[in-house]
Amino acid sequence: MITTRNRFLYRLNVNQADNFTNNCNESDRTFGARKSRIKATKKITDSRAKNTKMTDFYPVRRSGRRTKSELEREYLSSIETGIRTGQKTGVMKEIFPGKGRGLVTTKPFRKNEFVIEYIGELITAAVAKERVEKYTVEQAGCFLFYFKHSGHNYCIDATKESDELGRLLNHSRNGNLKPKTFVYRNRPHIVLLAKQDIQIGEELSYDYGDREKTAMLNNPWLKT
Amino acid sequence: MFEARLISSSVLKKVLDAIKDLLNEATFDCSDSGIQLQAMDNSHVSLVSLTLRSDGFDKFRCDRNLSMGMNLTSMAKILKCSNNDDTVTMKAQDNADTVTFMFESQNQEKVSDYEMKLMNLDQEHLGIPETDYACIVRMPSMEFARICRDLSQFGESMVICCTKEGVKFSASGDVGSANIKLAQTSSADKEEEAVVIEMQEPVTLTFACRYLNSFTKATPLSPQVQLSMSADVPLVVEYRVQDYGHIRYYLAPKIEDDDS
Repeated sequence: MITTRNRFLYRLNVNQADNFTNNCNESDRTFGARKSRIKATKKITDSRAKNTKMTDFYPVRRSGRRTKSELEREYLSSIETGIRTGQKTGVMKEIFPGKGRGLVTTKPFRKNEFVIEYIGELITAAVAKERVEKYTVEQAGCFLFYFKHSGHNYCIDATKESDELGRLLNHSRNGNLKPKTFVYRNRPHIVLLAKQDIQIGEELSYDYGDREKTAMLNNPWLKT
Repeated sequence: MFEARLISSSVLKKVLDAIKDLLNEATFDCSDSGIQLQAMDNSHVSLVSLTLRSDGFDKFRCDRNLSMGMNLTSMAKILKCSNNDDTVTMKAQDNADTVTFMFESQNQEKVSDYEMKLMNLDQEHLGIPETDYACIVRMPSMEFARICRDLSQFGESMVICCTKEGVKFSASGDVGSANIKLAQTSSADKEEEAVVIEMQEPVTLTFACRYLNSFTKATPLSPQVQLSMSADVPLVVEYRVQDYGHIRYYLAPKIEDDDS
């Protein structure tokens, strides 16, 4: 094993030659016993240096993996943050020929990730009905999001022109987003989550869910 | 469903030999990135961290993350039943309480199945941060094993002192004292035969020989070993597992007892 390249220095200070002739373990034991009696005052001996433990240096984690409930909590709080901060990172407005305004991604999204909130005025379905008539006359376009929450019919009206991006999402029956109601501060919100993994540059869309005959006739793009 | 296939059982045998001295049982954490194991010995003075990446395996499939608590003595018994050139496949269902080891001989004429009961182990997992070490020493693993063996005859503890001139291992006891100095290799034919020292600051630390000797059971896995040291933190002894990953041993240093 000893190579000439490495310089080795084996040095043995043998104080008691007679002791050394014995088996090392044996001499260890007899010598150790004597030492404890006379309390030798050598600098570092085995009995002086104490073993420390791994736990003195590194913190204990119960498990290397996060629990399901912990992940769930993290996920819900990520949606909450999205609503609270009006998050619209990774989403950009673009004009599509023939379709008008729409949204595309500038960052990839993972499945179920919060993408954007459909921001508008929260009204009841009854109020919405009145407004629809007015909007039809004005030809203001379709910016109403109807939904049901704990037994009541609501609507988010985003007809009013604003900087919000959620209202610009186009319709597709095979869209890459899914709307979900999310209660934040006792008010229902509509958040759009990624239905699948979404790449950069993809157009964002979701299924408006409108299958009404008259609506289909007036808006043939609902079939796509 | 979990399935991992190794071309030869010798790697698994060597890995097990490298850890069973310190651990009686351990949890193998399987995910699609591979197999991980982290466990402290009973005294909590040392820790073993094993990583086998999925790309090293001949075939690897892990649909759901799975933690398999195994009795290492039993596992060693089973692996002893395989020939070194046998193909090994480890298999488990998603919520299984057993794991199956399948050995296939090279000519495909003999196939043996061994099923082992899994255990629920309540083990503590330590969060080990990435650390920049003051001294990193790479040396032939056989050399390190020899030094540990030789010095443990002289005392329970070994002092490792690393300076830019070289690294010194010393032990003293009732018989006398022993010092082994290794200088950095100026030129070596093979990289793994060289002694290489990367030093930011000199370090001197004391460790229990007993654990170091257990670590050297990993010597057959790799021709080279890497020691990473900084003042007042555990030593890291790392052996590469060719194609698969690595096995790292952490050892808490000995400190002088203030009471005496």
